[in-house]
Amino acid sequence: MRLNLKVMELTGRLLKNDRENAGRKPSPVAPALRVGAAVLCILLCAISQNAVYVITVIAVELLRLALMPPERILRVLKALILPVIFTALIMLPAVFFGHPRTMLTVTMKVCESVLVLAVMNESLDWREVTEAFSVTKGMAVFVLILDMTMRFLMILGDYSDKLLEAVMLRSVGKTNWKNAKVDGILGTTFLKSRQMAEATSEAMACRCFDGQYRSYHRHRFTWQDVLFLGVYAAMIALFVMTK
Amino acid sequence: MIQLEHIDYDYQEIPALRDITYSFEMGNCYCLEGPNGCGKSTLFRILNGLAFPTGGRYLLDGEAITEKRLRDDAFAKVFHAKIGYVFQNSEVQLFCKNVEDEIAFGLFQLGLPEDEIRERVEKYIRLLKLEPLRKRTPYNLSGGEKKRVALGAVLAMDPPILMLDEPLSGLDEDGQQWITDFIASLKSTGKLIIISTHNRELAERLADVHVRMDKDHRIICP
Repeated sequence: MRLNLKVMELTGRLLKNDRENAGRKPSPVAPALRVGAAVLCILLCAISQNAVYVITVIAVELLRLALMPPERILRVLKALILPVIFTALIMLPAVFFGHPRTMLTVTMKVCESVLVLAVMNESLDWREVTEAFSVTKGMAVFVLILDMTMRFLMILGDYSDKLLEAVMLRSVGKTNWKNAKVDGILGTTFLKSRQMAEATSEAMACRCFDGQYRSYHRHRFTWQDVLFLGVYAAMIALFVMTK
Repeated sequence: MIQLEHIDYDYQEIPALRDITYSFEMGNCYCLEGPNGCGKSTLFRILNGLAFPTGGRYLLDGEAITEKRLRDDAFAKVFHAKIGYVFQNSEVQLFCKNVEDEIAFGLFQLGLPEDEIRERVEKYIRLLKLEPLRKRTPYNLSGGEKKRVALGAVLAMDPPILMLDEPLSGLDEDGQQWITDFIASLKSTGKLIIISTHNRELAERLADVHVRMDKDHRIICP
């Protein structure tokens, strides 16, 4: 039951994010560069042996976070708090063995990695993430699967949402059977997903699908991209300087 | 030209089509009419190579279309490029990230040059009045918009045969009027158009030939 509710909560959240992002103006910087910067940032922090580098990155990310709308800040902090506390607790024995810096370093690195990912998650739409992967030609099938999965999650999330509303409208008073209906909703959603998957595969066959999956939109290298490459350079320079 | 010779189709031993013999000629618009469950959608599935008759023969331009032949990828591609199929539920037909990608999808599969793909995408975006929607995700669109995107995606591939399954279902009055006018404008292109519909008005307005099916899953009025 709890798992079912979690699944529905997840699809609901995805749907909400998607609706929020629907009218958003896309960033002029190539998604691949933005995803690459996040990966590089995490990588450099992981191999960095100087706390100054990690603290600087955390400071910059917190500054970016501060410029976001309150509900997004709350989501990022919610995502951040559990891993940081968990790591701190796990590393706590290190303090008693006389290595308090180890605890601090590992906790800060975890905090930085989660923060970078959470901020990226808030600033990038899932379409931009898959577009970032599609830069590599060999990834076409992977990107297609990712896109399809997201699409089905949205559509089926919406579908289960409507089923829940229907149950709610027919529910009167305080009864236990309402919780039991969650199983029925997920079952129906599963059957619907099967039908939709079959129909989509037929529609793809009708449009001569032979494994090619390319984006019509080709990102042209702009001056904003060049500026963004400066972020890469700054990250590497800071890493080398603090080494 | 499509020829059907004594087509039978059973779905789990329940008859869905019985002894269908009919020819669809190029340049005509056929409206397939009949009650629910008479086999219109099944016939469309057979015509699109998504289901195969349990009896009889289906010929497209004189070539027999069978399950075995459609297993050949090259043949299947040529076959599907000839027929454009707009599903009753457009939602299942739209699977790309945005409207532009949706229209370009089939064109990439046909292996057309980049310039031609861009030209055709722009043409159909203009023709179907999709300019404000071009960057939108198809599943976030309204029913009428989805139908227009599905039509654009299929028409961009320029198939000589166009099949539309209940093109007006789920649309409001304006949407119905727009789609009807648009299909009417396609009649002069020389394409073979087959429409499955319950809508008498649509059939009266568009059909060159009315094809009626009955509850016994047969064509009764060619």
